[in-house]
Amino acid sequence: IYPQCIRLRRGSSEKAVQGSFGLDATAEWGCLPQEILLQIFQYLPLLDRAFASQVCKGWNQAFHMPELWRCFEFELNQPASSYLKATHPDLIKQIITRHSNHLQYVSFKVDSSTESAEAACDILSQLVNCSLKTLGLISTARPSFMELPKSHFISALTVVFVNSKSLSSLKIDDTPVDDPSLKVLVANNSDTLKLLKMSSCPHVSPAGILCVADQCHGLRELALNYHLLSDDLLLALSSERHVHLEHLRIDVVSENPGQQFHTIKKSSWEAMVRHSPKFNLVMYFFLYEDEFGPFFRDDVPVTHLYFGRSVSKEVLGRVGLTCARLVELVVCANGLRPLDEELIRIAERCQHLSAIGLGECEVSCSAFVEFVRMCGRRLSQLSIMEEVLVPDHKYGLDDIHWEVSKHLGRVWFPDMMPTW
Amino acid sequence: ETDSMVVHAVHWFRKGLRLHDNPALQEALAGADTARCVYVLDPWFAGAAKVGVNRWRFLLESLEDLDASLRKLNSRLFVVQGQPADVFPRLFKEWNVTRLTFEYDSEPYGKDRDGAIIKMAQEFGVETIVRHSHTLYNPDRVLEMNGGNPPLTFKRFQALVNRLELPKKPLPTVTAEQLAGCRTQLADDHDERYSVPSLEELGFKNPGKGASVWKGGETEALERLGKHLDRKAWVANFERPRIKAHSLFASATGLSPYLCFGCLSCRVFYHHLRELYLKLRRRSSPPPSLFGQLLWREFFYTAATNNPNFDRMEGNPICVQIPWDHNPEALAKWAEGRTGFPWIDAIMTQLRQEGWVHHLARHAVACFLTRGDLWISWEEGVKVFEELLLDADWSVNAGSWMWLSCSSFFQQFFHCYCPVGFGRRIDPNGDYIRRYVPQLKDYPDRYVYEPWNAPEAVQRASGCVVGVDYPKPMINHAESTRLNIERMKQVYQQLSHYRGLSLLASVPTIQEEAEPLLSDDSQAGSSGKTDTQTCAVWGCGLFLLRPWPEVFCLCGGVFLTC
Repeated sequence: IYPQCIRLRRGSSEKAVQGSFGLDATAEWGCLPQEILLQIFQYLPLLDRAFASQVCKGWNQAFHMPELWRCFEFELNQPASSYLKATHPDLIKQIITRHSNHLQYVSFKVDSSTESAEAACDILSQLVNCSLKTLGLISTARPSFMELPKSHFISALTVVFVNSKSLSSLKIDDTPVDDPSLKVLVANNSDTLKLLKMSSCPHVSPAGILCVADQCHGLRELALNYHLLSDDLLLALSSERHVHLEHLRIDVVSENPGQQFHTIKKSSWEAMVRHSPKFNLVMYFFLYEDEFGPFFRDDVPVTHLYFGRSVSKEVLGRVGLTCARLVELVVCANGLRPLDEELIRIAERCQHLSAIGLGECEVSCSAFVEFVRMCGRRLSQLSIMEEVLVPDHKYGLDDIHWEVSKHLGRVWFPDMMPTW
Repeated sequence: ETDSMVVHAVHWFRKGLRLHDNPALQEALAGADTARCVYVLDPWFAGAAKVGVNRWRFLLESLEDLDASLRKLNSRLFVVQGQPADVFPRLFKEWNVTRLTFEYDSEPYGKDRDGAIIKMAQEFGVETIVRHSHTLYNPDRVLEMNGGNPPLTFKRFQALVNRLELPKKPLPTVTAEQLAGCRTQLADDHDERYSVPSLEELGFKNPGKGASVWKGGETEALERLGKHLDRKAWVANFERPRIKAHSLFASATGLSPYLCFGCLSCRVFYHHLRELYLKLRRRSSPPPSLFGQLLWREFFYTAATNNPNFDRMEGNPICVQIPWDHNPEALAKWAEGRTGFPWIDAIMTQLRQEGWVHHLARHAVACFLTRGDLWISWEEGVKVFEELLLDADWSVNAGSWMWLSCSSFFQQFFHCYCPVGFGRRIDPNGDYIRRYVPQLKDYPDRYVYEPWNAPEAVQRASGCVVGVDYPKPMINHAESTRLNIERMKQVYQQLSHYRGLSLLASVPTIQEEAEPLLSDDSQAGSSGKTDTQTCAVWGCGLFLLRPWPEVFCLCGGVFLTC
């Protein structure tokens, strides 16, 4: 940009007036070509761009160039429920009137108030001329979309589905989306849909999501809750016409204590792996300890495993036996029985393991050192709470980090918590 | 002897409420003709809800103790009501003060206040002497060793202080001889004008009679220190003490409030501990973990000293900007122990009644309020603890809250404390719950942590029906955990531009850990090229690598890659 500006200056008249910064007349700044303005404006945050647009007609025109309105993130916050600032309502009006047909990558960040969720739906219903490629509905605190009347939400969302016809990426976690609206999505966007994240959408049934998998053969990333997962779904995702799946994220959440979960056949998982050998399976478990019955009985191709609540020693033992593709294991809590054998088994059998996190667990120092020795340098993430390590006859707390650092090939310390 | 040779000294107590290891006080007494010990108390402050009755009581007891100790040395404490900026000009004139002494306060607000007082004292021709004795190490010295920035990981901090000289040996207690040389002139109406006020006088109606669980003052502090060191078995074996159920209750040897108010010198504690260890273990150097509690305190003082925004999120260069929820109703339930989770409610009740809870209990309630369950800002937690907790001072309180809410210091956020399971694992019998949530005392062990799961018959038999005699649980923990893990991940991934699938890799690693310490070959092993740049947004001077050559800053400010 600088050389172009210099050329401009040299081309200006001899009698140019010196401005306050020693520059030539401000008229020169007003003559900057739109391409240059575009580049500059792209670096400016929205507020600064808005100020700049008030300076003169030329800059105002530049502010409204379509290229600057491809991406937008609507921030909808109420002062009563959030500390964050919100996108100005006037700006929202302007965008809808002047730029809705330029928008391609849109997200809504909404706080925990129903008003914010309503405002998002309001905007969505007005995006009639839009041909969106990306849409994200993100609740930054509690899921306020779930508080809305379902029909209100669905009708707003279907406006986008019907008009876009080229949606590639859709994030609608924690919303009241349902089977019929998914049918509308599929009817209009089946050729383009690549990413669909819909964890915790309680109004969708396994049949609803199966419809998506059957029709959207380009789907590469999918996130949903376990109750929507079925053998049929996995087979549909592994059908010949389907592209290779890149990743599948599954949340296993317990609604009530003692909930029963269905099982997925080993053959369905095998079909997935055959079809998409490199796919990542991310599973987040939020279950009570005694609800793990159906899980980890057969081989499962999980790559990233998170236990968000306490998980038993026995289940961790089964993980070692059934998760040969495991890359990351994160355990929030286990309890007060040492996980020595289970960890050693995981080191043996999960040859791709490169990240492990242990929270409220216990492991003897010797077993831990052995675990690290077996894994060696493939462990790029090792996050162990200090309280996890139990000193024994071989190692105390003050020397264990040397042993571990040696095997890892870098300086390592456990994670600490303040003891005030 | 001309007037200019006469020294009229005033020692200003703020923290450091003790006569032992008090170098500033010693400076006041050295060669002085008269010396007075002053505490400036702002009565307006008592009305503000910010400081609760237990903290006031502790302070007043500490002041009474100082007064009693000074009386034995033929002196008295002068409690002057008002604000320092108004009080000192009056006193300088009335007492012809020539020398003012006080203990150094490293906190930003304290430094500003003291700067103004020093300037004003100069105008009155008063010499000011300031001495360090509230911390083991001078925070500025540690900052200097770290290129002007506070270390942001505890291990880095430990590595730096290991290279410093040992903390100075504590000075002995002020003696009667020292005070005999500088008479304190006492007026007949000293008690009327300068005595320690009572809680009622400060505006607390019905403050409650009876001995408090934590008695304030230097005398009590030193007695406790003795008992604390007597637990030789602990020090001798020096194992990491695993928490047992009884640790949750207030301990007769606990020292944290006394360190906070300065009734006990941290240097005295440090050196006693060190000597005891060397005597019992005969090894050449005690492990850093022996001084854990003291070093955490130092860490936070150092981190806060140059950061006036340390206790808030906005404008705080080391704090991650997280979109916390604003929910006063939920906050009140937490603060008042009405969450419906007995473990949380017991802790908040003990905190309100007594002013202290175990550090693991603090982790549990902090996690519950912020990233674990309620998703409310840690700043609100800071305010509640400031009101209720005896050992909460500005730096340590705010720093600990940032740490526990994963708002700073590069903490992993995957480990969440379950409001049912965590407490149960510490205290399976539920004695702690039964004591502080007495409505539940007749519940069987199986349900005392989760009374809402008890069958109706059990609830009625125990005399406490959930929803009637005790609140229902205010949230669904599994659901909250699920949501909040996603929120934290979103925040951190936006910060680190990490697009991968690893939960652990979402949190950036700080370069200061990877960098080997100078002249320490055994710690070699940095992970790639490094470069420094100052963050364009807050000028916070942090830099993080994820992966090379992308460089970004913790505050979210972005600067160009090279």
